[in-house]
Amino acid sequence: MNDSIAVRRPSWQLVLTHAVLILVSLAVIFPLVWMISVAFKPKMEIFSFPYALLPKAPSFDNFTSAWSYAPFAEYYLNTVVIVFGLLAIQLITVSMAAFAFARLGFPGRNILFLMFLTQLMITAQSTIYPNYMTVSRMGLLDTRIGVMLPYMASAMGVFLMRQAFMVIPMSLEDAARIDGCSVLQTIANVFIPQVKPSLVAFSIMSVTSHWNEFLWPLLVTESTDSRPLTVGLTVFAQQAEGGAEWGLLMAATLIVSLPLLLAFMFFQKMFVDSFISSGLKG
Amino acid sequence: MPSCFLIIMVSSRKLKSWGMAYLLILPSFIFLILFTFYPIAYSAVTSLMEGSHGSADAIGFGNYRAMFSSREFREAIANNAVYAVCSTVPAVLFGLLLAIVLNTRIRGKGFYRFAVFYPTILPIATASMIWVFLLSQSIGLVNHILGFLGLPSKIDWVNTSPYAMVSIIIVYIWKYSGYYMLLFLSGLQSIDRSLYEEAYLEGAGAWQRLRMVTLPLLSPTSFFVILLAIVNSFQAVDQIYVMTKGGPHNSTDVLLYYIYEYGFVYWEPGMASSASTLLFAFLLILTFFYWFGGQRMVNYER
Repeated sequence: MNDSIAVRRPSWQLVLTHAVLILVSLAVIFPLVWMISVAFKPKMEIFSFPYALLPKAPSFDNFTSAWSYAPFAEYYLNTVVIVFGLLAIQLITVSMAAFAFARLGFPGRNILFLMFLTQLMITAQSTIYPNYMTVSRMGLLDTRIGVMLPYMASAMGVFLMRQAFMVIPMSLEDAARIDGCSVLQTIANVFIPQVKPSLVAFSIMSVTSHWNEFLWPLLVTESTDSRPLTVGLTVFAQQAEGGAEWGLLMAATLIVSLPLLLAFMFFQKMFVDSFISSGLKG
Repeated sequence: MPSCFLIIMVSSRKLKSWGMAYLLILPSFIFLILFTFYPIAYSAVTSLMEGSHGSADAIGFGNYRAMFSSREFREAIANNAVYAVCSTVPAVLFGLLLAIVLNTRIRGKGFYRFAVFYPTILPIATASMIWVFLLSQSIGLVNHILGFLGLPSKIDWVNTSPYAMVSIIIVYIWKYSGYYMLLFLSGLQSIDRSLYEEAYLEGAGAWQRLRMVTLPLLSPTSFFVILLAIVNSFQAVDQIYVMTKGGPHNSTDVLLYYIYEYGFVYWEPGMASSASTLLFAFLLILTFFYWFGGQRMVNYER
């Protein structure tokens, strides 16, 4: 009904709606376009007024010099290890806990579940100070493990997977038990294959948020041994600031954000579904 | 006798299943305790025990007294309130409006959705770098456009008050509106279409259908999105670090940034801990609000 109303709308109203939508979309997408354009502009062009939307003589110079000024390869490696290492650990902790909450009855289940809920609001972002002290006392400052530690249990993941586990028919669980599967085998061989969409949704959410993480790794990392891309970029920016090397900075910014942007363009629907499901249940 | 035997059998099986449940939860639980609950206790205790830089009267509520009487802290709270309201309200409204428009059979939906949503997947730290460039006083494009429109165009956005606050709010709205739009869209799609037909047949106009059908049925989603937006406004400080460093003159200093400064720049554990405790108290209140408020909204479960 909503739809047919839209169709019957007078055309001037439709034109106006599109005009506003286009204006808003352009305003939001502009920073991205500008970043990409400036990243490819030679230095002379960046400051020559009036500004051109597209570079006249596009070049990769900014990228090659940004890459040589800062150890972006190491930063990349750190980010990849942190993000996917964390995901692997989370998938294990999350599916175990989710199975217990979805399929087993035990005393204190509701209280424990409420405790998990708390983590959705009191995120690791707000616990930076005490968590820094903990990681420091563990002697894990400036290590990749130290960056990962506060996120190894994910309440959001537990919620998402619990929801998915709850609708798996009892008969499957019974069949696995009759076949002599242990609980861990049942989770890995019977439950996990049944909930692939939720698994994908959680993975996308986890990878995106940890790829983008900034404040926590900024505090616990000190060297290229553990520093991820977002932090490396900021350090690079602070060094470059005096010279206002905007071409370099925008190239570096593109280097940091490109993998997720490309993934988002190719798998838009998966990203959208992931953000909806994780958003609504936590 | 046999029935008694059965009970013992059952309960031992039950105990075994309980034990299994606890074992399965244990790994997550350890990290949950260590990095979510222990920090709360640690901050509360440290805030009462740790004197700040040699002043013994900080033991007890001294840190809180010092904090509440310091101008910087009161400014941080006031700034955070401004930041929360001025970023949450427009971002949620934009999200809602866009969702309502894009929920119709309008052409180019895919492009609009992509354009508005993509900032969600960019790191704020990175995105802030782009904004610093766009907002730069002399070469920034924003000032050039303002000048082109005949408006004041010599604004030093990130270095003068109140423009610095405006800048970090712009980044918040830019970053989160698309996400809220997406949540609203999924809420809208779960509304039963026949309700619109009924309202239409009863002669309700577009505005009335929005007011009588869409908004009431969307209220669980709205409740959730607003809460999420408020929580975000207390935790989204990456752009403050990159763009303004809390300045100029503390005008963009918010609670979490205050914690960062006292914890990691001034190294005052007592003050950082009491500010953290305050933040946790606030977030816990929101959690309870979410839990109980969300439960009363029956049509929330989807």
